Amino acid sequence: MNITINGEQKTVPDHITVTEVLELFKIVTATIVVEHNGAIIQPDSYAGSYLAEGDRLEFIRLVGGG
Amino acid sequence: MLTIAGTSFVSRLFVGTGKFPSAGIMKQALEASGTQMVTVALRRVDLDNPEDDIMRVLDKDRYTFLPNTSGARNADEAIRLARLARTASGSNWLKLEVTPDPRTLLPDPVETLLATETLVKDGFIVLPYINADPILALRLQDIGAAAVMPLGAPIGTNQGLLTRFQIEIIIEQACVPVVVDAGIGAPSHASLAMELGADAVLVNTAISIAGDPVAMASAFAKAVEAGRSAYLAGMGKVTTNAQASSPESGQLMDDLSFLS
Amino acid sequence: MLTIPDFQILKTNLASCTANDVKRALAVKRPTMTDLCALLSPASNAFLPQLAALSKKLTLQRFGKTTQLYGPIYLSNYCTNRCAYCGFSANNRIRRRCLTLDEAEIEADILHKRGFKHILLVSGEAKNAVDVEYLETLARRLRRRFASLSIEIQPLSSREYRRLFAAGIASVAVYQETYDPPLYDRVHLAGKKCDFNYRLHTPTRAAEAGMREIGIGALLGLGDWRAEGMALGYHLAWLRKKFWKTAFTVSFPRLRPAAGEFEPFEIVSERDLSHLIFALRIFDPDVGLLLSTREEARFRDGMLGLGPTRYSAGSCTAPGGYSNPEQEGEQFSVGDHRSLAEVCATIRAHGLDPVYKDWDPVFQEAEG
Repeated sequence: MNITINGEQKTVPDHITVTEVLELFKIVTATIVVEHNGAIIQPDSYAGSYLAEGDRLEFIRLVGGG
Repeated sequence: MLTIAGTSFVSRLFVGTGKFPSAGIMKQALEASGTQMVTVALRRVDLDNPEDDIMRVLDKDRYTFLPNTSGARNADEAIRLARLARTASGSNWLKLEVTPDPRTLLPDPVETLLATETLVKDGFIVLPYINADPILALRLQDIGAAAVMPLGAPIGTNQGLLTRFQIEIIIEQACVPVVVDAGIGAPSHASLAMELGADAVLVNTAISIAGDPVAMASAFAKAVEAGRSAYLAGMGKVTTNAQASSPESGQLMDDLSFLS
Repeated sequence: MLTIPDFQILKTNLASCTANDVKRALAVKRPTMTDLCALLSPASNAFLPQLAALSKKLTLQRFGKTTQLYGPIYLSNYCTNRCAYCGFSANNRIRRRCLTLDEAEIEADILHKRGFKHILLVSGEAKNAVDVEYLETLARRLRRRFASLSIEIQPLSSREYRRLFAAGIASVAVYQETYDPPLYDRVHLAGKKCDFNYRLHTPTRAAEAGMREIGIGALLGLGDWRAEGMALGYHLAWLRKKFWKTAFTVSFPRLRPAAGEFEPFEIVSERDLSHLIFALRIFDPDVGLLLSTREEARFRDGMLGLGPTRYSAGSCTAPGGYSNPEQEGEQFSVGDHRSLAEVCATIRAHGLDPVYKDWDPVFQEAEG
């Protein structure tokens, strides 16, 4: 199915969870924040959050800045 | 000892983590600076390069992280970034930066005030980045900002304290710590800010783009200490000439002849 | 927390200042309490001309070539306090009178016709004579005719000050008389005024209520004027920090002969008074400084442009005294008997512009 990650269209398997998406893109979870359709979700919810067609995910992390 | 929102800082030099040539140099520079407060930003993970992670290099126990809301163009965006920052950093510290003009990166006073009000109520420790506007500083203080961060000159310009006069007024009137942020291009600028009575300074560009960022970080540390010591020692011009050679002395005596 | 240091400490600090401290205080851009101490110290006596010059320069810079005029209206000389130094003291046998609202309006009309736009409503401290309702009603009657109404009456609560602000009063004057608690107790013998702290925080309550301007002051002749000057500095600085939207003034009532014949504990000369005024001007270039008709014409004229920014004129300190100049029951006898017109002529002759109006009630309209 198609979802949007960080503003980009991506194709992922159906019934995928957030945890699985993170693994798919090789993102280490410890230092990131996940927004699912505009809402922040906590790390303990990743495994139980199933994605649907058209969902929007944002993966945000802390980076260098002034 | 500088205290902001109940946390004490020995070092009055806060350092940004942007624009360094490498994570390794950034780490060494921060150590050399002696800082205890570092700013970080929030950005989307690069899906093509997901390992690029500054946080692996920075010691959580050594530094208080001050996430900024850089990129926010209005209060709503800043509030959204703030909430992301809180989850990412695990703390309530926030440098509120609302900069609608990408060219000058000057802060929007109205959006900053609106965002501060909401964020303070939501439990954030808000340090708003503002132009050196004394009234705005007072308004922000009134609604619970933990400190105010007036700029010396626009971000990245390294022009020093162009807003010196207003900063002096802010320092005089403030009941919260004043952290001079942006525009500090040289250790002497940082020293001056401290001599004027600022509680701390935030420096990023001047350190990260220096020829030797580690040495520059160390220089800034010394400058901030020197400026602070000078401030505490009591600054003020002492005229050596007793009567200041006032040519009006004669005139003055006449002025007071009315006294009985 | 407003903390005014003990007078012994203040006096010790004052005594320890040197000529170098004074020179430094005259040279710094932003004088601190330490600098005020130097400017008030005995060591600064020799520098009076320099203080005067700097005070003159700062006053000109901040206030321009102007002097603002105001007229006091004494509404009542009933008083429930017994203050050793005051003509209205409860135990003084003087003719007591409290003006009715109509009589007060007549007094106000006289001042209005003379040209006053800012008036100060004064009364002894007696709730049964002049209470909040009385002032509210009077303020509503007078507010259209005057640019601003100030009051110098008994200390009130924040709530009461809010009512008065809504009615048209914009400014409150309340003088601590002396900031030295033991001395304060000595001269305040009975009545609510005996409560030092309640009085001390009256400016706070008035500012919290939104009053636009607060006047503080010490009665010169009670405590050591230099220490009172320091206390005024502490009080003013604290109020400014806490209430940045409020304007402040300092007044310098100096003990003059009064019914009951109180002998001042300290003699404060005109020179001392001018010294205090200069020091406070240098310490706080923005504060309004008042010189009332307690002082002689010669002194008031000499001080024009050197620091003071507000003068009263043609004053009568007995209730109903404008309608009836023979009216008895003065609070103190006046030193400058000139009319408003004469005082203004002198102001102009000194190259200053007498300002009748510096505010407008329309600014308070929305809140009313």
